[in-house]
Amino acid sequence: MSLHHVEAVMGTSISIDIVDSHDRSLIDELVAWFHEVDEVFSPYKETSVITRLGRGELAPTDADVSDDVREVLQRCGELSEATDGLFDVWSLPSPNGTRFDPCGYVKGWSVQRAARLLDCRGVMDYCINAGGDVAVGGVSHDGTPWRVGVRHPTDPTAVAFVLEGSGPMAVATSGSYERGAHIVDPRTGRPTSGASSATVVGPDIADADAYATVLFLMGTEGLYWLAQQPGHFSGCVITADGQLVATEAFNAHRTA
Amino acid sequence: MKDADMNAPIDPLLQQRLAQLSGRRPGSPLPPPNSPSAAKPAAKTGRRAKPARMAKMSALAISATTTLGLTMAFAHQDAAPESSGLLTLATTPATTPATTPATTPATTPATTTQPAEATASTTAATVAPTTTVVTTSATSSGIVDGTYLGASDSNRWGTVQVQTVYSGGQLVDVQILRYPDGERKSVRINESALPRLISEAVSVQSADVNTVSGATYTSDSYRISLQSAIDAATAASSSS
Repeated sequence: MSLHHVEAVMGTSISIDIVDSHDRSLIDELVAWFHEVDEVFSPYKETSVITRLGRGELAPTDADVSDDVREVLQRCGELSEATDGLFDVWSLPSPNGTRFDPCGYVKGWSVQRAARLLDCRGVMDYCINAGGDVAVGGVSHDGTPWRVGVRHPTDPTAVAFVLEGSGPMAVATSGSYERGAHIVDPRTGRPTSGASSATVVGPDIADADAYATVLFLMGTEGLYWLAQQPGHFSGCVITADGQLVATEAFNAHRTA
Repeated sequence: MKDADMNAPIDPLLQQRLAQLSGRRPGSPLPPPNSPSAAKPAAKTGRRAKPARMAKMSALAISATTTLGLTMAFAHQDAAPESSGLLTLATTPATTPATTPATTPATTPATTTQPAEATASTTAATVAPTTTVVTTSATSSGIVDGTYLGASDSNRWGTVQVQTVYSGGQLVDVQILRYPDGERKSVRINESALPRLISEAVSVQSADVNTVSGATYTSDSYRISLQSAIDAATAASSSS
């Protein structure tokens, strides 16, 4: 009595596991949702609402702009405030040639909405993974807490550590696995160490995704920033030279 | 939970790494604003033109750590000892082969007074010269007060640099500097809420996991990911 499905959509692959139901219509509903998100929010599509907003062909107040889009716009604005403009979807080069690309928020947001939909359908035990953004609920197939591995920065087939959680838990990772160790500080001529990846765990995958991006940009000092944010999010940074720097709150989620 | 041994000496390797990160003598303040090493190349359109690179760790808190070697005890000069230790970069016992104690070269008060704006050559017109004077002095905690500038980096989100300010031996401010727009943002630190940071060498764990979190999988990278292998195994044992 479980469901498993992988859907290629939104430029990535979304893995869906539902433990406590065999009702395939749940999968159909989720898949339809992610395709709807792709249609509306993809900056690659010429006719998407996001592309038209970026080009000024639509205003956020127009009737063609759905409540979902407005919700995303509002939250992106709040995140820009909360991150002092570091997370600013209005100043990014977009695939459609504009400067508006909310993809960095939409993926996590769409997973959060999918998780909420399962909650509404009475599903307790599930795991949704959209391109590395993970939201879990309840417990895994064997009744134990979900074990969410975080990709090792240099070995795509390995995990660097494991986070364990029952009930609602979100895990997002932002990173740059291919570059990293080759960056030279022009001022010193020496290789510098930055974040190879940053991982945030918390109650909401939409915010966790955005926070992971910010943490990746800020490096280890972003952990101080993250600790100031509301909502019980915590994080870690893996530096380019292989140090895992985390807060105690984050390590509380790790398996021994 | 990974617990850290507060009393263990810092790993000499870690100490060396941290010193390399800073590119400066541990505890040394910012380079003079017009020194060649501090000048940024002009990049008016850098946000789009520069290749995306990864964000670099700002070295400041780290370099301050090396001056202490072991524990950053962030006590006010007049604070009781038990109020310290909120902010600590410690190594876990597993990665700390308890060896030589760290040297602490930064106990002598530095007396230089320097403008903190290290990128004046390209951003003077737009960056307000806040935090213009840095007077360094040693504190009871051994952390030299001052403003420390991290390495800058260009990426998809712009060019970002983080600057930290220590006063009274405590981290009091983290400022996000953005170029070439010249914005300067400040994140006030509520010191009572500062987490303790724990550092350890990253290792390879058993892949006994239900799912894998990672930086965005594209459809291509998914095919070679651990997650795709997990999905294949799950598909073989479930109904879809």
